[in-house]
Amino acid sequence: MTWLAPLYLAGALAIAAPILFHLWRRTPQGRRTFSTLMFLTPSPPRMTRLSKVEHWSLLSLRGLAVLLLALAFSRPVWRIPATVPIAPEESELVAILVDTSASQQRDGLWKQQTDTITKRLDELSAAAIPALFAFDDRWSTEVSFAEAEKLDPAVRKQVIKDRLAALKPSFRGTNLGQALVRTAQSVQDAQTGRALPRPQRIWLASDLQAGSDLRELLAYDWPDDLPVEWLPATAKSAENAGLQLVAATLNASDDKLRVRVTNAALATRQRFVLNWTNGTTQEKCLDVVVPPGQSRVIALPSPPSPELGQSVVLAGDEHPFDNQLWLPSRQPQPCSVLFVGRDEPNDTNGLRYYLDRALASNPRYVASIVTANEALLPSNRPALVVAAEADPAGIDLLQKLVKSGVAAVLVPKTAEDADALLAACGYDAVQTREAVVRDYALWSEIDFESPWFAPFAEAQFADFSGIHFWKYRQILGDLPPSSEVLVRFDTNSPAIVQFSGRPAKVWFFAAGWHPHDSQLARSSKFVPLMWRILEATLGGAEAPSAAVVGESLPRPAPGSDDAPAQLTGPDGMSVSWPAGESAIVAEQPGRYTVVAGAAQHLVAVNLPPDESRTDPLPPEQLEAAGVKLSTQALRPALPASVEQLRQQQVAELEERQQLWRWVLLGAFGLIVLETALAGWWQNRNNGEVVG
Amino acid sequence: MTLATDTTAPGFVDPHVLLQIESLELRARHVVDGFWSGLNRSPYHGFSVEFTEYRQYTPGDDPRYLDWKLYARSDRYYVKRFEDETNLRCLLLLDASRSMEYGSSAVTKFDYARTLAATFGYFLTTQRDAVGLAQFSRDIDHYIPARYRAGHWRRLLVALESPCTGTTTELSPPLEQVAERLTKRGMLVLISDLLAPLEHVELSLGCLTARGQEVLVFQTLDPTELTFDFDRPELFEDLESGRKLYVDPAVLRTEYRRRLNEHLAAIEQLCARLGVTYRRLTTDQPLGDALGDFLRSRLRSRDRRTTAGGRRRA
Repeated sequence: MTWLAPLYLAGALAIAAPILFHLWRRTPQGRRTFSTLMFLTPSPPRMTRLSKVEHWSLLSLRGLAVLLLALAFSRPVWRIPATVPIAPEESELVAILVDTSASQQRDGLWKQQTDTITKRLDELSAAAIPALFAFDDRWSTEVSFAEAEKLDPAVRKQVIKDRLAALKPSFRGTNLGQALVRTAQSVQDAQTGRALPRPQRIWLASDLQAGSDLRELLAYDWPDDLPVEWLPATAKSAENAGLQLVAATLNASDDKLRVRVTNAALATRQRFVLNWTNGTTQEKCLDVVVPPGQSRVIALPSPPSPELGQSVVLAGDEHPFDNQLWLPSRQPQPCSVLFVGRDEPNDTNGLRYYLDRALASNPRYVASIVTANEALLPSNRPALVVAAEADPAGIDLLQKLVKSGVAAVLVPKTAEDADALLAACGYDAVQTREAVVRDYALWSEIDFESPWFAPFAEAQFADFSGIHFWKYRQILGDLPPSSEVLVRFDTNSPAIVQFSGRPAKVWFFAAGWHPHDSQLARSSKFVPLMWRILEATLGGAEAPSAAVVGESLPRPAPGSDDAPAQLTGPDGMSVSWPAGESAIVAEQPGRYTVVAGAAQHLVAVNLPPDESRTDPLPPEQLEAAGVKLSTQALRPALPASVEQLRQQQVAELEERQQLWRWVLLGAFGLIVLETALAGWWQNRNNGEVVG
Repeated sequence: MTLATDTTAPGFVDPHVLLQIESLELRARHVVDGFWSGLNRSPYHGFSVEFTEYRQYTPGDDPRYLDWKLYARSDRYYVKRFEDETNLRCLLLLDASRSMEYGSSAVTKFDYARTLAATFGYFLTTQRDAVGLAQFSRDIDHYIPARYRAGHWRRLLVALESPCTGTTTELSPPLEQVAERLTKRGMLVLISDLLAPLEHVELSLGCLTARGQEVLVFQTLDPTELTFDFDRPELFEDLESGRKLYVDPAVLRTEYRRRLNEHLAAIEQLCARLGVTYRRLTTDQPLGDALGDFLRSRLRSRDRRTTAGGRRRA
């Protein structure tokens, strides 16, 4: 018989407790206050032989119960295992974690890193099982423990070296936290199913830059028995300046591009030059002074030419990997709008004059207003039709375009025009007449949830009461069921009606924006409303034009046909990007061009900004997460000495036998017996007293 | 006038029930009203306003007491004299020593005693008699002279409501101090457990009776103090001295009862010798009993006074 926790046997001393309680029982338990003791004399307590004998039997039961409890807590085991098999040499698990982030591209760093790993691999004992993992902002297993274990010990190291040689630094960020956590999990997975864990450690081959992301590590409970050994690799120079794009804010008073120039805290130089570049030629842009450890945000002037405005490069820094910044550029999309009517382009009383000017200032689209004659060219297919008058040539084209799915905005000048235009769009059941307007009409019920008016929904923009309408066309009878009234006049007559029927959407303006009908064209709402109509017709939200390496590239809104988009990378390679396919991730910085139908979208992809923070990571940050870094070659002690192994085997045996349960059950049985016996005695005594 | 003081009269409430009434005044009213309802005659007519004689008016007499009807008939001024309502000056002497705080049930002796005092006080106040109160333990702790005036009853109640703050019981010194303060004849009601040595008590009480005070002694005891029927050996602690004594009641019960009875007999003999009305009450007895005794004694003193007055007049 042996014990797992022999110290608990000291609990047997608690046997003194029932004896003490037994002795105490003889002293008066109660205390009573009484008015006077003048008639009382002290009387010593009585003790009879009988009570002593009875209580001894109870006392022995109580003592035995305490003894059994102490025995149960000391976890008894029947037999000691005879022999303790000890493995002569344990195969150690070594997880090699290699940093392949962009900062490893610094001069000589990567070579230094691979050399160190190779050297340490050679020193490693043949029994050790090394595994190779690589990380940047992703984590990948190059050689897993399972794979390495299966390999012949003679070739294990060579396989690791070969796979290491195939790795090269990427342009991505550093997610050190995720990498450490996943590697630790892999090591622990490799230990599962073993009674005795093998010695284990992680070799971290990284520059440990301050820009590493450690968030995932902070949420992880790092195992105590997993040491991390840092294979240090330091760049030749601690200096590094970086260049990053500053996201444009709505508050910026201008639309200038802003860049941030950062300088490492350990740097010695602080003068840099920003140059425009297109890859082949450079042209000086600005001189920049950034003291070490600081950063500056600079608004770039206009580039000398659009070609040179593609990127800027920072000169004067030793490590060029983060010195080139690709600049996003907006390229307005060309589109054409067919105008059906007889208005002269310069007629200030016509509709076209105002439409022309409103659409010309749109930053996303270069809209050209064409007439029916010009629109016949196939390359000039209009994206939107604005129809004002029932011009015979125009009406034909309108009819064809609406049938082919082109949206139309009908702004008839007279009731006859209205009827003819509606009929051309397939709504011949809708009849109109000139409304009789006293003084003027106003827009009253505006549907701010519709895409056209959503931008005006906020209170400061929602006031349309300053726009007077002198004339409008009143719709007679009921509207078709597929229609929706976006705006009504204060006479409750529809002002703008949306016909959502197939094949194309048609909007009907009951009053024109020209001065003859209303003040709409000369109000501040006109330009945003026209932009909104154009954008709502042509496509959704503007795709972002800047991204970092590792992010998915934005795909422009698909056109009417589901043709695959063409993606051209910075290396000039062009790939097809089908509509249903998942996102494409940018793997290197540069300019990516996505062409989807007629739309072309440019995305400037740059390095993650944190990669420029190449100052060394304070070791406290890793220690705060429980990871103790060591630059010494760690030789973890065997966790199991002979005594520990024996203890472990006793523990396993105890786990199987679980004698303590029975002992505890016995103790409870004794307590129950004692209670029953005491109760029986008490009842008998009471019976005697009553008798 | 005869008063039927039937102690089994309805309306006398079990003190345990009575003492659940929070307000001392309500308790006193309850006892007194219950007492009256047990009588055949209502006391609210003529009991306290009893005409005694006419006397010829002499200058200096208060003209308020002139009998104008007699004047109308006889054309002479007579002063109408009544039995003086405040003739009786009663001092309630209440033991507030720590031993009074003992109670085997929810009712302590002090609760019982002060309800008794309040009952007497209320009864006398309704009779327009002057009532005073002295609370004592080792000395007189609190003294309110006997008066009949508006608000006095309230003052008594406030004094009675105060908790038992005394220490040990000493009977002789307070009685002597009271004897010094009482100049007029009257009635003195001593409510105490009398659980104290009786050495000088006879002398002190004798002083009071000799001065013409009618003395009533109500000894309030807890039932367990008489029977001592505790069943377990326990550590007994004296409420007054804090002395602790291990006592096995089974062994000591007989001895205790013997010594207590000796003490009680001594008190009874002492009271009989001095002509003092003595009544022993346990806290489970209805309070109406005590009130009956009180009334009988009061009538006796009244008779005695009347006879004495008559003798004097003769």
